[in-house]
Amino acid sequence: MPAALQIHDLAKRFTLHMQDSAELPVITGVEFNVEAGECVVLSGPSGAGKSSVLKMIYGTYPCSLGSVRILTGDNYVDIAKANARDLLALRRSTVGYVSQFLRVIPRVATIDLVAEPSLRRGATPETAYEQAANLLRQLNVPERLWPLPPSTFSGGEQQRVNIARAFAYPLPIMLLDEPTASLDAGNRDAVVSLILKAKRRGVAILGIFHDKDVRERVADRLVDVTAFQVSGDTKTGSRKSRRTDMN
Amino acid sequence: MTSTPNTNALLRASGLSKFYGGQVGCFDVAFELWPGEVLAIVGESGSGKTTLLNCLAGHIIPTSGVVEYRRHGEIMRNIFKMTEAERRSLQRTEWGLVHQNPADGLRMTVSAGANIGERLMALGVRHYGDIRSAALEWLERVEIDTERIDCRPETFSGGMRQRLQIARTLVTRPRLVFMDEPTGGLDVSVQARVLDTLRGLVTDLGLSVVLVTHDLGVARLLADRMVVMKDGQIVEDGLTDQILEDPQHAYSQLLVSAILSA
Amino acid sequence: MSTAAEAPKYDPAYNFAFLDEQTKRMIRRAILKAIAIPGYQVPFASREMPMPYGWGTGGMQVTAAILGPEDRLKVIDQGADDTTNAVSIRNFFRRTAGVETTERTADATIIQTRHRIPELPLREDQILVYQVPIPEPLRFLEPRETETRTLHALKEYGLMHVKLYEDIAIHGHIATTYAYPVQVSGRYITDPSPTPKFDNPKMNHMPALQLFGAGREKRIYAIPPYTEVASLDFEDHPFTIQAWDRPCDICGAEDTFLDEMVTDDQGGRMFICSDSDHCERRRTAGHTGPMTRDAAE
Repeated sequence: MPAALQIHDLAKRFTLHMQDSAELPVITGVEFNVEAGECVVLSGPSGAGKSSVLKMIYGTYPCSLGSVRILTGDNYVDIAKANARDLLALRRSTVGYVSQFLRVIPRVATIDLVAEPSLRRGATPETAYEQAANLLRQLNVPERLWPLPPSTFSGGEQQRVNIARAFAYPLPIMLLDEPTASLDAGNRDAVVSLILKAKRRGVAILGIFHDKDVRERVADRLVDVTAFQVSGDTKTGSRKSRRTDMN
Repeated sequence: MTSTPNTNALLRASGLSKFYGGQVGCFDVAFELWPGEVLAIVGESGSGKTTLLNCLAGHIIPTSGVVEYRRHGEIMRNIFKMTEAERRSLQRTEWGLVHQNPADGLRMTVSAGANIGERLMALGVRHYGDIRSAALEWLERVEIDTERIDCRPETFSGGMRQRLQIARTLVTRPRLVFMDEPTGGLDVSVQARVLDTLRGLVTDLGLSVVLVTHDLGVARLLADRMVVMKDGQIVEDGLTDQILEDPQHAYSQLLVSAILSA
Repeated sequence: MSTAAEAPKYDPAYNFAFLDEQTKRMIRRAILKAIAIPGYQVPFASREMPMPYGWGTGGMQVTAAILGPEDRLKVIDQGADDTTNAVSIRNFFRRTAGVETTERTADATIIQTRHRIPELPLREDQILVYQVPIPEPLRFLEPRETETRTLHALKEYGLMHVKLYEDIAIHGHIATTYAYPVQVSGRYITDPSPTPKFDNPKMNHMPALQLFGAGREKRIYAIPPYTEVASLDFEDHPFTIQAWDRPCDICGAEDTFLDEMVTDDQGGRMFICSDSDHCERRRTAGHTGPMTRDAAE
């Protein structure tokens, strides 16, 4: 059974043109696979490059080197070499990304946001909305919030809407970047059971989890990103000043 | 590299340049747009983005290079080799254009209903009742009170005028819509509503869009892909989130870092 | 005042019909082109006439160009032969061309008209010359000449229906009652001049040649004999003409365009045929209307 996701010799380096083209190497030589139904967790300290790996797989960051091969049907597609159109198609059909933050879309009701992925893929409105309701309930999002757009919700509420939306129609490969970051224990449990259920359905999951307890419950394997760090220096300028978080 | 079978690009620019004497409007622009994609052309004033849009939409003739469009059921054809009649027909049927200033895209002296109905009448619809129901339907879609169907756009606010322009353009369900700073002249609070209307319609109708803007927030909300223009040239071309989170070109990095975080 | 014909008083100081021969040739070339492209506005080098723009200079130039010594000319203004303008124009041609003039539609070979088509159906040997103020039917919707020319060239006429749509939206029906746009031979949309829409059906398949002259705007257009002329409308709001609920008070006609005339300051009014010649002929043939019947009894 071929791996759902194959990372080979993956490297990332930033060039900061506004700081005299300073080069900021992050990681190099990353190598691992993720099988269908398996959850691999990236571990390592903050700034080690875990999010960068996820973003390279999703295509948000261009890869400086290496390949990210995704299984679609019988063939592999290399994200690192895919053109924009194919990448967009892969994001719709194969690879999902859940970040810490909900990218807030103005004026769409929460329940509509969560139902949208299923509707877009041809589910009937009854099925899509019922499932959306179940997910929101599971994640303890009160029903009175469902007709409202999430822009005025608390961080935790937004995060849970985000997760509900991602798991409404899980794609074959899911990339999870700190999905439980702002959640209390009860909600963390809910997320864990969603992840476990997705695993049972054969979803290949690659995630970053701060919380040790969650990690232990969902992870089949750990990949320590510090093994791939570029030795020694980060040049002038910290990574945080390089970009604003666009989420 | 896979390519999706049986679909072809909708719009293609190759080596597209426009010079005004010695002044560069745009230079050596090349990209493809596929059905259902929203492409943002981003740049500051003077970057050449409006010149580029006008070349793509067939309003100005480029100095060199080619703009090709694939009409429904046909092969890619150079739009400047079409007759003027055919190009104008294209602009009325398969294409739409949303101007920055809604007054440029509306007839201010006829009613909202007539504005929406005009493209239908131009296509030969001759049933008053049908035209009126289409107008009512579209007013609802763009969230303009249907009671205003017989009012002139002179009496509308800026945001309403822009939403009316959108309805007027989309009523014939064009395949490709060109937008020039669609929220440019509007107050910030009004922009959100117009953008949201646009976003919904683009999704519902499966539109392909070429959107010119200097506002990265607008690009982020509406566009799948972006090209960054500086001094008439494309300096970076990629997915919207990629350019916004990991801009590669020096100018893109400058542009992105200049956004004020909300 | 009405006599059937008046003796010509030709003034030899003028070239025949006032205009020089080269000008008349230029105008006739424009007319031929207009006939070849029914409904299309042909630009021409409109000359100065001895009256201001807005008084029929275009119609007069067309008449002058086609007039011959054997022609018999009728001039009407709003259907009447005896208004100031009709009289002036008639006198003008009597003096500069020495042609016979008449008030009888049936006797005329050329009829120059402002704002009405005669009630009596015209014949193949007659020519109807219309005075036109604004030849461009789209002018009030699209002020740019460059744009209207392109619209005509590309047959992009959606805009014309916008105007009709507006009428129905605002008034519940198409409110245009004169200068009602028509499509000639299925191609060009044309302004029939400010004739009442009542007259539009007469234009369709008319045996006579119809020529249109706009002096200020410098355009000539034409509808050849037996040409299809269709008034624009909507499928669910078809074109209709005006109707009155009473006949002509003088001759009793029930199918003509009636003028309303106030007779006293107590609201009294009478309705009489706008076409004075037509009314007169009917009276001569013995027809009576409510007012003349009362007087006879």
